[in-house]
Amino acid sequence: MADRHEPGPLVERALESLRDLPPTDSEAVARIVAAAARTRAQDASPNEDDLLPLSLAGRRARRLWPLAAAAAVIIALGAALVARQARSDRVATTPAADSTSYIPVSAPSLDAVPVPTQFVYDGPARRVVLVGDFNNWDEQATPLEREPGSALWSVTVPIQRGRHIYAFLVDSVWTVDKRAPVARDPDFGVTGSVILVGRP
Amino acid sequence: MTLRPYIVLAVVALPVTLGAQDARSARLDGKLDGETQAVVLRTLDSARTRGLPVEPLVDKALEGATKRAAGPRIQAAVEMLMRRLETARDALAPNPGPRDIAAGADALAYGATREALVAMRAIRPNESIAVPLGVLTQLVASGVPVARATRVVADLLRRGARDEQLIALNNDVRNFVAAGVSPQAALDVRMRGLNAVLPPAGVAGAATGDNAAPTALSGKKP
Repeated sequence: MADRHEPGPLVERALESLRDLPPTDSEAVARIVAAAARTRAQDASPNEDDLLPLSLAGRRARRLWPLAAAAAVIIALGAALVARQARSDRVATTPAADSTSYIPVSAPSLDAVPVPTQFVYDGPARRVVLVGDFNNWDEQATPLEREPGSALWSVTVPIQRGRHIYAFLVDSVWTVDKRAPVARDPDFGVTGSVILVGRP
Repeated sequence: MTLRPYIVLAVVALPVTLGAQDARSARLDGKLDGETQAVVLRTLDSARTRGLPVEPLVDKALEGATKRAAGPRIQAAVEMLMRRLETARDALAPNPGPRDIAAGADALAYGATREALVAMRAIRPNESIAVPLGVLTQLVASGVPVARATRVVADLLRRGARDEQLIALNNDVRNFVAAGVSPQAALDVRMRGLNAVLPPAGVAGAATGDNAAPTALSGKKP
């Protein structure tokens, strides 16, 4: 069986001829090296017009340089403000901290992935809505659906890991979840319910 | 050269820069009365200046609105939360995420100390501690004394307890308390159960490569 995989002398010679490199043309190599050196020298001192589109080259382009610079400054300022705004939302750093050295604790990890979490209300109602710190306390955003033929209402929403406060609005009446711990509320005096969300 | 192109550029660029701020402020539109909204927006600006996350503050204002709280109460709640966020941010330095800061602020509201936050960050320097802080808050809410709850959560973190184990501990304690058991006794019995499955602190640290610095809570028994 092994003999069938041994190449014959004819195949060996063919393989040897393929392994040989073609002879080197020293003149061609010299031409290539010289061309590369010329290109590098040109790149080191670019012409002003090289930085502009062809249609803008010349006097008109030079006249527009201040305008382009102003645009760049405005865009950079805008980008910096937007980035600063976004950073203050995503991550807080000490005011004196160097923003370039910022390394978020948990941003790139699975910690930031919301966990689908089910909420169930049991009772007669015409409409049940979920409000909480995970949906901006929005009274319209998260209605529960009633299970057909029962008084069970449920909804599943993605929630970040951690401790969250919520409540049901049952026919517009603030109602705590009977199956969850109560969250006292020193700020507004209206108790809610608490859920601790971990990995699924 | 005419100034017209500069004016056009400024008109185009300005809304872009202000758009992000307006989006967040717009969430408060129609939810708060004018005076309250103005005060809350000033607090948000102050928070931004201090490098604090503003989302928890917006949420607090919206929570007050949904609970039909009076304007001055909403203003006070947002202002107090900003102070707690700042304390939590500093305690959880150097680079806490916004969820950790919010969780720290919650824990502070329930009586956890700044030192407790510092200690937990030292144990878990490179992971979110939003869940452990939430469990700490809930244990305290269940009636476990703050110092005891802090030592227990810190000890469990040091021994490599997962967030799910911490949540299960909290749920069990709550169930025991609901059944009439005292919070401390409930915590004791559940800790005995966890002691059987978790390694000692030193072993957990060695196994996970955790080289967290010793903390003020080290060495104390839960």
